Amino acid sequence: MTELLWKWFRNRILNTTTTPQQNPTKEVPNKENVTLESIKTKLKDIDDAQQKELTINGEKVVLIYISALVQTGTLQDLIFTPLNQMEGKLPPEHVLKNSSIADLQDLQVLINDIMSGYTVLYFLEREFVLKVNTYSVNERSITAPESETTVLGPQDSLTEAINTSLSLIKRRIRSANLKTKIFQMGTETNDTVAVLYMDHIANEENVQRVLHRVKNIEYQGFVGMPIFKQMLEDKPFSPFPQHGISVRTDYTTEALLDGRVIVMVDGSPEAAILPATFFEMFTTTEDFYNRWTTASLLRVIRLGGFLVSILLTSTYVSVLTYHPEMLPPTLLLMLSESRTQVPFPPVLEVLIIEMVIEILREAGARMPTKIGQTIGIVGGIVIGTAAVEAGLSSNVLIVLVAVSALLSFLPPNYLMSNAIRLVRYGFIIAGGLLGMYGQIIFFAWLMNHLSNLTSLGSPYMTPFIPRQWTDLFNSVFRAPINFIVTRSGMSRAKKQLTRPLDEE
Amino acid sequence: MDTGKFKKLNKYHVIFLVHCSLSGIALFSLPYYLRHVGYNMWMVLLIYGVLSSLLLKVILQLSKQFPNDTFYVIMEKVVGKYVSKLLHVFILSYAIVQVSNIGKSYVRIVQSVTLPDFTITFPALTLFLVMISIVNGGIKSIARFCILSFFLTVWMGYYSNWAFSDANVHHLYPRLHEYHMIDWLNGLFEGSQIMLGFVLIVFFYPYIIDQKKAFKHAAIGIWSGIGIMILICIASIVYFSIWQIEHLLYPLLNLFQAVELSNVERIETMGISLYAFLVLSKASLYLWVAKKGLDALFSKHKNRTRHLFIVNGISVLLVLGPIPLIYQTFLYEKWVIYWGYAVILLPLFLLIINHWKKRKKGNDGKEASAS
Repeated sequence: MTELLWKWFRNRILNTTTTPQQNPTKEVPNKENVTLESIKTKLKDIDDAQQKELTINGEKVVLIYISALVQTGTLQDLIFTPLNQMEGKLPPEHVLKNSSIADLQDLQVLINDIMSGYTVLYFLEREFVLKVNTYSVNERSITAPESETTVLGPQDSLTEAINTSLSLIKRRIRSANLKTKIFQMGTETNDTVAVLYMDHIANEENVQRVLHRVKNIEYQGFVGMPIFKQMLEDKPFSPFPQHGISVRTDYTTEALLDGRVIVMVDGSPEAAILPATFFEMFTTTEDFYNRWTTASLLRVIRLGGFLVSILLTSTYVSVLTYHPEMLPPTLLLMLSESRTQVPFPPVLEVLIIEMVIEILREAGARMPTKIGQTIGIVGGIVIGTAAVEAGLSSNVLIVLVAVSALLSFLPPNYLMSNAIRLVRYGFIIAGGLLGMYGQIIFFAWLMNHLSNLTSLGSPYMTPFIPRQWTDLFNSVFRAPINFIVTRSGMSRAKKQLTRPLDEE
Repeated sequence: MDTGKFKKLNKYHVIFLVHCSLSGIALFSLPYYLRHVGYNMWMVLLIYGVLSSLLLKVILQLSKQFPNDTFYVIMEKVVGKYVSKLLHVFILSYAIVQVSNIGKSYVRIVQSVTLPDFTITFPALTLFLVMISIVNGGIKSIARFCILSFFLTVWMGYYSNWAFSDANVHHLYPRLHEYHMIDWLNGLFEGSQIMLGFVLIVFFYPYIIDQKKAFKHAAIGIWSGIGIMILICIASIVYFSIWQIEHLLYPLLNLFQAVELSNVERIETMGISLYAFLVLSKASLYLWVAKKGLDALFSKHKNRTRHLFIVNGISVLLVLGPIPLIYQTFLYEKWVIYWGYAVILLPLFLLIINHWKKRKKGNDGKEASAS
């Protein structure tokens, strides 16, 4: 069905816009020779493109760089100072140790380098070009992960600068087995994309699949990792995230050691973790920092919270609309009294209050932190109380909606949290239409959908659909650490054991 | 990562596919179907178990001779192109009628117990829509759904606790002398509709990874199903009187009504709704068989999604269409059982024909080499 929808959409777009032949998204220009004029033409109307004329060893040289990407101090340290200290008639390429000789046949590469922070020295007499990497911009410092906080464990997080993020990983895994593949992606942006994996652990098929998908993505540019991640997913139509995403360095490192493949995009602090399971969206690294008993309890709460969150308010709707006989008389009486003034049917009442909560959440998220908090508290208390007093809602429903809203925020994965909230509306409408039968039918559809989802071709519902029995030791129940001796079945790692078991 | 692989069903898939092909909506009326033998009904189930296991052993002999072919292909190979087409239509029609039968029976219970103000139209349409989404994922999708269904519903067995708390265990003593052979045969005949599903293994046999152990895994599925049925029957035997067993059409509902919880009443509303999982898993398996039948007839066994919509549409028409009640009764209560017997016996006939053909070929070969 979704394929049909996509085909129709694609044909419609192709018919209503210019054809790819006339307006290709990715221009493949012929190679152009490098001349000073051609460089100047390409850099026309770029006011921060700087050109300075110098004389080195009596030879006229034009220095070209983008001032927004190169700090004066760097320029001084890497280019001017070595040239000033040059003795005798040593060629400049020997003095500038970080330099490389540019290919004079490929103008586009040179322009890309300039736009990436390189400084170019064009020797006019010799028709010779040197380029030096002088990229030096201010970057956000390494901070604690605000969206994935933990009480215990490392408090650093990945940053927008891919080199900093890579360094954070590499300082934890000091091994030549940690492989890093770098790609230039985005037809307009030329973003740097890095794919990381442990060569001797990660499943070869998984690695090749990720590399294949990354290489085949063609897009104008990636303003954030979440966009790139969606393009790597198996079923983009699903409301559920099919790969992990994290800014935590420990979580990313743990995933690498488990045999997963990590993808990072320059300019976005998140790392995508491939493949990932539905269950992993409910786990954090803190589960391993905690004692196994506490971790198991928290996992039960998170997963139970997921079920309660999607079913609580919809059950209110179905029971009050179709099955009031299910309630004990005292509870039924209490609910009836609380709804005496409410003029709406339960389904409409629930949808209104759920929407109010959703609006409050969205308003709180978009406003500055202090105002956002105030909005949350004021909105929650004032609007809730006022709605009950005005007879728009029963006070029982306010409690139920608040509880299910809180429970929806239990999953550490933000995208899963969003998916749960969306799915809840489906249950509410199904409950309103067909009561408990409707809820169960929708639940059956959801279970079927989830069990058919895959992440890099492996079942998304692992370990509920077990790949190996040892997965059960790191599932809802988190076994003591000495039982965690194998890598997860989802990784299909080359090396199964995490530590030797046959030692005396 | 088995996308694109032909053999995709592991042992758990086989066990639960066979398990779910047995139960289904007939479980609601199981003690009623077996009423002819009164309190001896649990023994009928044991007979079913033994008979099914023996039949399974024989049926799988045919599949073993064609390990990479579905039953539709086997038919073509054994009885030829034209006769096999007729048999395809025969099985396809049976599968469609079974889907309708399961769907209709369930939706009627839902309507009468949980949604008395509704017609069956909307609940039936939603049921069949979900069925499409399950079958669209192929046999592995159905197998996964069967596993989920089992674990999401098996806990309801706990509610038999209330029946046992008011039990009269004397009912469990065998009373063979009270019933004649004809009663036993009537019981075996009426109740057999809950056991006909295991034959569907011949359709998904080529997708099984470990075909050598297919019998073992399928037998586990059969006996786990029998185990649950025996639990229901024993709960009914000890809880109901003979009169109740003979007259209650849905004894399982009455067992639900015996449940007394402090925070919820009328637990059968939830129980019946949750039963949708078992109904969907069994009906999806039949729908998949029907879809494969249409593939075999019109696209040379190539997978065509439109065939799924067609068979599903026909099933919906049989449920919601203007069919006189007399024909419905005839179709769903009598014909479908005979039809099921024929489908079970078909592999046996094919096995004999294939054996005869092989023998004939061997003799011809000997004669040719002698001349």
